[in-house]
Amino acid sequence: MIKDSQLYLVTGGAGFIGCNLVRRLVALGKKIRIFDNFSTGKRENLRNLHRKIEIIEGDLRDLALVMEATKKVKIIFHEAALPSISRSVIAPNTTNDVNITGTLNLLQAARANGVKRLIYASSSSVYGNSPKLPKDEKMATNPISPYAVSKLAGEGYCQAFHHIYGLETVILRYFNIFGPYQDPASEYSGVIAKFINAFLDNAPLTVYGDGEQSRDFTYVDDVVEANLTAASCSSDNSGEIFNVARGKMVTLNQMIEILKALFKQNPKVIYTAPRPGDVRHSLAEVSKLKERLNFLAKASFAEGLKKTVQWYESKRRTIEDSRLP
Amino acid sequence: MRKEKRIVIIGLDGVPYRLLKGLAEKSVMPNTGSIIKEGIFRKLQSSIPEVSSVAWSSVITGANPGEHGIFGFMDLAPGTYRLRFPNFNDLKKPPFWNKIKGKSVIINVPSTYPVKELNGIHISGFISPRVEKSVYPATLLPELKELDYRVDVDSSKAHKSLELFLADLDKTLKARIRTFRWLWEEDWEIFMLVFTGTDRLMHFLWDAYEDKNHRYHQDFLSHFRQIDEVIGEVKSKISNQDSLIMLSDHGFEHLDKDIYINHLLRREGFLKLQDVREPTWSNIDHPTKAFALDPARIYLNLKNKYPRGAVEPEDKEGILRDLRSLFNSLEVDNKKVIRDVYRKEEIYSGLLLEQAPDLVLIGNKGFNLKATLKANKLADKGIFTGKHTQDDAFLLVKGYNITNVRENPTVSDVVDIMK
Ligand SMILES: NC(=O)c1ccc[n+]([C@@H]2O[C@H](COP(=O)([O-])OP(=O)(O)OC[C@H]3O[C@@H](n4cnc5c(N)ncnc54)[C@H](O)[C@@H]3O)[C@@H](O)[C@H]2O)c1
Ligand SMILES: [Zn+2]
Repeated sequence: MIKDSQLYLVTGGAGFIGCNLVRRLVALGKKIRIFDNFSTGKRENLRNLHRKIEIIEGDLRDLALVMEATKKVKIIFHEAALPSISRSVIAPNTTNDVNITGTLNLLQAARANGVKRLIYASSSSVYGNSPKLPKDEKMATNPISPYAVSKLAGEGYCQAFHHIYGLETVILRYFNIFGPYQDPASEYSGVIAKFINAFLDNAPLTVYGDGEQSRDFTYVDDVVEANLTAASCSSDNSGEIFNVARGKMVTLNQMIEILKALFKQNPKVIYTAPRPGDVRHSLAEVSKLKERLNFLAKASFAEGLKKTVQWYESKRRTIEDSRLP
Repeated sequence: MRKEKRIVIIGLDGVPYRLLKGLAEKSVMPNTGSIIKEGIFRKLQSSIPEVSSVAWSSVITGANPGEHGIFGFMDLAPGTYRLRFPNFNDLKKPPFWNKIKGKSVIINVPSTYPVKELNGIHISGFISPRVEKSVYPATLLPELKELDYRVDVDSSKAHKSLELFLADLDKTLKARIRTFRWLWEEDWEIFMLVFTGTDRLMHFLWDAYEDKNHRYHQDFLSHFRQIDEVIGEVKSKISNQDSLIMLSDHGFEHLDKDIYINHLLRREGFLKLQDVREPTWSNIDHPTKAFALDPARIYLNLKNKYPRGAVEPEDKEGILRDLRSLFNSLEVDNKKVIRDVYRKEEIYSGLLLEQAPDLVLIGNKGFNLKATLKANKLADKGIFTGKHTQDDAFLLVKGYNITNVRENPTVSDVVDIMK
């Protein structure tokens, strides 16, 4: 069980998933340290938290600083990464340095400082474009972008540190996560943020392809809970890989229908050519998560979407209010 | 080669006719003063209601709200009580820049977010909640960031400290001027720039204008002095073939009392909320006959129009009559609060008349009408010292087209001057 005096480190705590996790930990009254270089993460994501958490601004590539940041830490949630496929295609070395060397630095420092466990944020992209659905953890991986390679390499290092040095590591393969604080530019579920913003702007929606492509969209609160579960589960799960998703598919057209009903708006939907390289469907097998960790995603897609819409609406209102005298 | 007959439009949000006249005469705004001498200087009627989103929408389309569809800063999404901010996508008439052949540079016109493709450059004005959709073409974004461009002063600062507010206001103005200089060098036929800090300044510091001993009197004047320098630059850069149009979208005056219209409607039994602890429009209860949206637009809670609509068509006229007499008899401090009660048919025309408020109120001198549901008294005095006025915006035109200026112009007449 998690004890309250323990110090938690969240790398990438200023990012989308990281800041949701941090907010949950704060609500639980935990002691939290964040390590982030604010490259893709935003300071405003940590608004109103500064007095409740410790923030170390630093880069994972800086081993000395990572050493410093892991002192006295019991549990690490490793969310920091450059999470963009296209960026990794343009500049693979940087992605390699941050996602692989950075993860290795963190593991080294964790071992040196006697950290008990590290939960690693991996990605469904390690499965690549094999047509088999749903994806289960035993499937052969087939990374096709430098990003996917880097996330898979991080998994490999986590397992190696478990086997060789006895550092407890749990690997979570996230599918398409969405929710509050998501950057609309995100390649995973940015489409949700983009559509919500289009509804708020009363603008037409652009869909690449026929809109029948599907994803296993998962609400961020469920990912946060999965992380907490991974942090407190028995040590038998060290070195294990778990898909984190709802295990259900939603098409873009279904999503648009739900949004129309939520907003009571009927925007124009423009269908354009599909984007080259987009996978048509993605779906997770979630039975391992259920059987070994007794974990099931709680939020239905519609519930998660509703909460996300409310968050974007209230964020919009705050800006609007500040701009009106 | 420089094109002939270019048009420059400079907007000064909220600046009243007599304030501009006064500052020009007192040589705070000497360049404006000399244009007044050469050109035509008139009072301009604002829109009804007299708010920027409505007025500027009329300025750029030449249409009235019944045609362009913008009736206020906020509206309820059709068939709901959900508040939303109408934007450029809701504007149902094209802006003038879509109708000319040449290139336009359009900077900071309120309510033109999100930007759309055009022949030229467009930076939208407030409220522009997201930068990504505030600039066309988006390739200008990095340079604007470099110039430290921002849509608007953060008004919430004024609630903390006027000092902070003034600093932010000045930063915003200077960045806007840098951006004006940069984009002036582009190739264009129409260049439109709106200064919106003026409105914010007058809301918070109208008293600093009126009172020469006010500690921020000089700051107030300095803001206008900087704008006048830009006007001087423009004047020196345009030729006699060109035309300069300066205007404001509404006027301003001293604010004595804020008057909360929804409080009045609740007190008199026209408006009922489901839960008074959560005073929002989405909480409007079934027996409601009428409610208000800012600043003082009155909507009947019609059956079949709203989820908890209660007013039957046959009761409409009776309720409107009751409301009219309620508003006409309203007095605060022994003064009549409301100057005019307009029915929508009197002030609007066009295909969107259906969406218009049933009544629109204009306050008497000093009374600032508001629709917030949160107020727990009828009249109060908040942080603002200035308020909008409807009948004394200004229009100042110099150039080939002064003969196009009407005798008693309104905001919808401005596009005709460009012809
Ligand atoms: N969002 C998804 O749907 C999704 C899906 C699969 C996997 N993931 C993984 O989840 C994790 C979090 O993703 P996210 O969507 O929150 O992305 P994000 O970009 O919002 O968060 C990443 C955070 O890491 C920080 N960071 C980046 N480089 C750093 C460095 N060199 N040193 C220190 N901090 C650095 C960033 O500033 C940011 O705060 C990532 O590891 C990502 O690969 C996300
Ligand atoms: Zn104003």
